[in-house]
Amino acid sequence: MALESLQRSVTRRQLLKLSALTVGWVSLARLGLPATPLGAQWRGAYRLQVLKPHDAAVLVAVMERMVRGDDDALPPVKKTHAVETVDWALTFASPDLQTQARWLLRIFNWSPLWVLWKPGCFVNLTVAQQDECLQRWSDSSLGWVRAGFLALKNLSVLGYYSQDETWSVLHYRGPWIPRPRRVGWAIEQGGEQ
Amino acid sequence: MIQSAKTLSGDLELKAEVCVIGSGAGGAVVAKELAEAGRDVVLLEQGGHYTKEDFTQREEEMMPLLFEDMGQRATDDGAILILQGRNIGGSTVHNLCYCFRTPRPIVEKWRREEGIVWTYEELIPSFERVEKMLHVQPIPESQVNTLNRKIREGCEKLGFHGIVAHHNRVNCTSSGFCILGCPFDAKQSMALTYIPAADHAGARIFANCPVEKLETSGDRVARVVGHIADELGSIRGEVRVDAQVVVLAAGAINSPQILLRSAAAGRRNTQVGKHLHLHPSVLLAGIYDEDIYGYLGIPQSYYVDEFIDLERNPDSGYLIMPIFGFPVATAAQLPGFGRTHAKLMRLYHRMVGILVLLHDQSEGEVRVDSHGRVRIRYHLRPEEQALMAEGMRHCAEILFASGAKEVVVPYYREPLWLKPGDDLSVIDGRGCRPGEIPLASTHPQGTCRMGEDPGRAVVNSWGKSHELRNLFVADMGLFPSSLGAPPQITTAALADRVAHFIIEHWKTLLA
Repeated sequence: MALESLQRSVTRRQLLKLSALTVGWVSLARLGLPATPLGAQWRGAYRLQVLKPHDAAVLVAVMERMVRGDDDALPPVKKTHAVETVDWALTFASPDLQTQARWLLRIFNWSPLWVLWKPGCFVNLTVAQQDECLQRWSDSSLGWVRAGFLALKNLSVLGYYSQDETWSVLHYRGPWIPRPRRVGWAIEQGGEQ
Repeated sequence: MIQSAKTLSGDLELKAEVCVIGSGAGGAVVAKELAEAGRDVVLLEQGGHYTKEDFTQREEEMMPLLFEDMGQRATDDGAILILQGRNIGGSTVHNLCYCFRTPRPIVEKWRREEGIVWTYEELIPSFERVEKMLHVQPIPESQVNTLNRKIREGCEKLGFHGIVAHHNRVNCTSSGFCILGCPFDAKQSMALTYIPAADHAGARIFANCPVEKLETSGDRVARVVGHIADELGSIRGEVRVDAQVVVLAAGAINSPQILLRSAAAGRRNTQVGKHLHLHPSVLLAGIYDEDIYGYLGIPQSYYVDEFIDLERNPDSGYLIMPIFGFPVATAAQLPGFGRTHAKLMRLYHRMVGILVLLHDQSEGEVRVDSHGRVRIRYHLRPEEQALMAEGMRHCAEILFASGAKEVVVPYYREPLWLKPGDDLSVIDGRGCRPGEIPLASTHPQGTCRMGEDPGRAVVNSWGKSHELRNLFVADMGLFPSSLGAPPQITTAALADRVAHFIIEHWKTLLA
């Protein structure tokens, strides 16, 4: 399901229409203004290849609520390379898919306006409000919104549960033969492949 | 020597007697058989060439390399995920090694309905050649893992019939990493068997060379046109192959795409891309009190054939099979998010996955849109949704019979969390509607189907195009109907027949 389905079920026109209806995001983007509030920026050493810094900041917030959900046994997203891993994996995706991934994160970030009728972005909501926002996307009667939720979930689990730090909680022993990680190498190189 | 984007520079202009497109269960067989028969063969594979040294046993690294669209290919409505390989060896590099011969009643159905001219008996030499090359053998009892044993235990208590299957592994270490590429070279994929043999016989093999279209001249294919693209999709050069015979074996989604892109106006077999069958599957998870470690050992060794009787009804039924995923795949399938989801993931080591694989009569279609992108439409008939729901109920019965303390039915909205003694007919009530529960396909088939009537089929009984005199198809697209069994051996055996037809009729084909 995930991004491929989102790409097919949501046309670019629909996404434009949606974002224009909410906060004039498209206009802001065209003017080169920040699409997310100050402070919600990615600040890792890894140089992002596909995602923009504000997309990465949204992805961190989404992952935290989507997969970890206050389970203290699981490591905080920021202490892993989950976002770097998603960005690295997206370098293998088609340009269309890469674009849709960025759009999805931006629209989701502004969705509290039309999902919760609350001003502001997802990254600035309280934890309870963030959970409510995700629940609304998950339960939406609109198929393409649910597809968006599943795409966010797939990105989140891809990034998070591929991290060695999460495996002990799952009693998963990981690879039998230690091999250099392709993604690990990319992270060490600051994103260069 | 297998060349790839790493070793190729500039454009590639080649001449060959035969150009094979695709290196999976079909293309690899054709390339090897023809090269050994002395034909000058060029094989083009869109994906990369990877060996055991490349298989890092990590999902996030292997999915982009080994699967189409990073493992995210899906039907247009997003309801069914379609997993297909894209590398030297195709899906045989990531498959789980079930080895089934084509069911005899299915061959009889193909003969009856599509006029296939050969018999099951005539297919046997191809089965034997393929099985010998792939080292097919029974899975030893000692290698049936805990997860598969649990399912067998449940079936035995319920009186459901099941069997330990044959597989194509040699010296298997039971590491369980089959789906991410075998790091021990135990899996006898095409990449380890037919491809090296083709290479040894002189076939020129090129990875990272996706084919765009076929150029025709009159009623013949004149040229294969594609490009060289690296792992990230960056185009490094053009590929043009002038060949006397072209064999399309790019799989049931990509082969029709190539044909549809190639069709000249007013000249197109109307059956190309149609009759898509998916063998759609749906899974459930059982939670046990004891440790299962489902990711360890051969993932699929046992299967349940209680609910499919092709002798009695070749048009309907389903198989029940074990299944398990590594953490990312499992997390994607489990319902919910946040704390609920994390709580479930903590039970990862105590889970048993089980799936229903439908022998589908439902059909779909592969098309190419105005932007050249693939569109995959598939409609799962209501009666087959009900059949899958019935299978899901039986899966829950099997899990509970083997001691599961809870069974999760992963509907997207309001998933079912069933306890022993619960009324399982609730599953039939909820049904199995696409878009409401995760569905997946690993066996797309039937889009360039065989048959003797050009109005109903793309190719004849030997895989030869009804339209173009020197074009053949040799992949799962050939199947005139759903196979009703894992397709690796059937695909390879049909490709073997296609290859031997080409060898025997070479002079006629050139005339």
